[in-house]
Amino acid sequence: MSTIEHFNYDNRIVRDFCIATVLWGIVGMLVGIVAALQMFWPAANFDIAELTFGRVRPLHTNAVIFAFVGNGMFAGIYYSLQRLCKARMYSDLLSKINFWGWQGIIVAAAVTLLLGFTSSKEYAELEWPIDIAITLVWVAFTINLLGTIFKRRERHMYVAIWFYIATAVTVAMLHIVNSLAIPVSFWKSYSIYAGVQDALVQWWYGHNAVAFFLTTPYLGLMYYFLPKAAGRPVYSYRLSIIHFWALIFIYIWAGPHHLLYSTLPDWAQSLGTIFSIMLIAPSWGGMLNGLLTLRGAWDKVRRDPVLKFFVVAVTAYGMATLEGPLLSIKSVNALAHFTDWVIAHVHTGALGWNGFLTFGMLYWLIPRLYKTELWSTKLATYHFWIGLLGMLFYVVPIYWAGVVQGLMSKEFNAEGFLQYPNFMEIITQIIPMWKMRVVGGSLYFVGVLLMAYNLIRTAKAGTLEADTPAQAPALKAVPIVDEAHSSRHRILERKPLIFTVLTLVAVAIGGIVEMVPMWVIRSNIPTIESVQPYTPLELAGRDIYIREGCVGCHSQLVRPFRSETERYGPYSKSGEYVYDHPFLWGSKRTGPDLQRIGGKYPDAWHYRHMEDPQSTSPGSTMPRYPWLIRNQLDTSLISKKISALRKLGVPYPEEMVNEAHADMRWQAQAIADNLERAMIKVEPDREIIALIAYLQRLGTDIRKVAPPPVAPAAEDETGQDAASAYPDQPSDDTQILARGQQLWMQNCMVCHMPDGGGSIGPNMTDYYFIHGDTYADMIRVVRQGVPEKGMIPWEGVLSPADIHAVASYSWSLIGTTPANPKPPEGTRSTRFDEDAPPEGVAEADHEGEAS
Amino acid sequence: MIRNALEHIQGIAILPIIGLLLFFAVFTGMLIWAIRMRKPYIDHMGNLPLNDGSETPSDVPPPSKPL
Repeated sequence: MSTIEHFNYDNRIVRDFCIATVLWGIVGMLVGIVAALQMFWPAANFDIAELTFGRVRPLHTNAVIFAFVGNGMFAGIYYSLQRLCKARMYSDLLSKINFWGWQGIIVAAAVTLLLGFTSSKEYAELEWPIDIAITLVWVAFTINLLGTIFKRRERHMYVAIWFYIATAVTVAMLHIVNSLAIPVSFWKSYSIYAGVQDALVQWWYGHNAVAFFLTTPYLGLMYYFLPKAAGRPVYSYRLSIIHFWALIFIYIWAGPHHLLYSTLPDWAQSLGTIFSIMLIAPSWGGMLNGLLTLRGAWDKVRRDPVLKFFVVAVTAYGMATLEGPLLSIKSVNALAHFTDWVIAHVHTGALGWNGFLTFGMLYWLIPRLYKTELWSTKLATYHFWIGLLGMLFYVVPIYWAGVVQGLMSKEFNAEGFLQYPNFMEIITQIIPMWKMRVVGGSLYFVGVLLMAYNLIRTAKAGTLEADTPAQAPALKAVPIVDEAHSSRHRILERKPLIFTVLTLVAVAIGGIVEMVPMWVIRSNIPTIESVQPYTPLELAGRDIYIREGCVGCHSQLVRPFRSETERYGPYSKSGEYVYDHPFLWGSKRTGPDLQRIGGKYPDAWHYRHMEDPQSTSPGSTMPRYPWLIRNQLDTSLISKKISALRKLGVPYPEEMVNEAHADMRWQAQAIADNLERAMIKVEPDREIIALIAYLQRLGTDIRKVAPPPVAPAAEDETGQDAASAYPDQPSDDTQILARGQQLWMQNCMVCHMPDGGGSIGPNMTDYYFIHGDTYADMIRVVRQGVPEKGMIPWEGVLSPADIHAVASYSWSLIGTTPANPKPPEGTRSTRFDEDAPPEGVAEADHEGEAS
Repeated sequence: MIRNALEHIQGIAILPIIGLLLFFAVFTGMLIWAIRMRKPYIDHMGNLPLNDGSETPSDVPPPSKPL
């Protein structure tokens, strides 16, 4: 007979992870509510850079994923692994390193993200020193995991352990490959990948962070805690095995579904779609396996809040994993991508699957760790219902908002123009939904507070059993009777290792097949001759863009749809991004796309817009950025940045490393001079100057090759030749005026206001003219611009027909009454005296005028 | 850099095909393995979470009998 060994399960570490789970859950969700408030109430940042949406959003996502779910995952794994292996954790020291290391990383993450130290890659925002710390702690966890498995007293590895192993090795691989970066300083680095390659690596990581951090460990927990709570084995163990292998093998391929209609080559996009749709099968197999475990035990669900939470969690898993593949179908993705639909999708998964599974697990664990009963089953049931309601109040409005945004941004009117050319028209429609989201999120948050109170009361009522005594026969002494296994007992020790290697192979194949061709084959990224690296000042501005988290709301990717090329400009090409370390495509449009923003507005517009977005875009929900105007630009790293990028293959000439400072000063002075002409006094060494330089550069490189649509035939002062192409009278054709209005809303309203009342630019509705009062004068100003005042020359940007249309529309505004008229400038014209209102009324319109 | 060494890979289409075949082979093998599992082994595995060697008998109902 074999000897019975006595040992203790380590419960203290489980308890510690449970406390961390609840604590970080409260923090992460509270930060989420703050971010949700700022979506429609930007002043909720109190004009403090550190509390602004762009920095708060990554804090929210990191906190709920890595702090809340991460600690929940460790709690569940440390509890179930010991019992499934009939062994204490391999090393108490490693357990402690895992726990305190992880909490330290979370604190460091919270501080650095708010300070603006970010790589900008979603769910991998943390800078390189923290990335290294994560790697070390993760290695400690993996050694502890595998060590425990090696010294187990139960010969067979239950399927939950497989999921844990897959989690450990895959997360390590994803984290290391995606975080590769070249450091510039302690808190600044550049991704070694650029543009479309960076995008592919990032979303291979980002997608599988969902798969192997939010899903596989929690599936392991489901396969352990659901049978435990239901008091019956899993419905089909065979199905759980199929679930495991199919899931990990398919999941790793699906990343490119985040990049549909991007500049990623079609073959990679198709792979992403196909494997995403295949994922429905294992996911639903797993969901049904979970739900069917409760067959014959549904009466328990009525009584036991733990099972209630589990049922909703597993159902939410099924919903989210059906929706994900549907979103990966290109035609659905065309509508849903960049909208709130995706936000609703992830919250179905996060609030439903991860949240509710964690809550159920905690309600089950804490009474057992403290050797007592749950303090209040009733309160836990209240938590269940309030959480469920909160979840519905969150996701339903946000799904609605996503569909509304998708449809409105694609709608064309009967004349063939965008129905809603102004982005703000769309945002205004969905703000009520954003408000309802805060109600839902707050309800869910209140539920978590109820749980925290309930669990504290439970812990107070009992005493922690730090070590649970257990006994089991030693494994090696067990005579091997199962003929399926050879008598070579060493195979037992080696099996987990073989298993680990097989898992790694399974997940690595997908990554290799997708990414290696992108790295090594040139034809996958067609280059564009005219695309040049950013100037030092633009690079500094880009780093400010990254620091402020602009990418959280603004995409830089114009998809090849007419609705997008009409709204933003030519669709994006891979070759435009070859110097983008990291890529900044974004994944959500809370504001408009910025890929073609360069040259669209004058510098003065950008200055005013950053100072107070509502002054240039009434109703805008973008926060103010006064600190960009206050702060002096830190240029100390610029030479190092240029050197680092040179090492990554960005073709800066060698002299640029030393001349970077002079180059910056020269470009900054030009922008400051430009602003001064528009009556804006600002020192050239402010951060805003660098940001303007970057924004004005965006998407302009490809224009350099394109021949202007209208040959600049007339370079003489009068512009007589080209001018003869234009009618000398404004049109009153409704179709031309409709087109003119369309162009006005896209191009002119930012300076002249939607109703022509004027803000940066002059009032276009009064009878005062600066550059002449004939229609030919107006055409001339539109064509040639008034560059010294910030008016852009539109010739070459707009076709002659469009210039005539927009000038006609502007002409039609003369004599109308705007909401907030700017005081008149220039001289009063007498041309309109016949149809002008009596002098007295006109004077009243122009109050404050001294003429 | 290695990227400059390769202008094109001939027959890139073979890669997804290899991936598909590999996936198909692994999946089929795993399916056969799962289906051929013996009933006593399945029951033992399914009951592992319910029988963890610790002394909390209230949690652990008697292992369910094979159906």
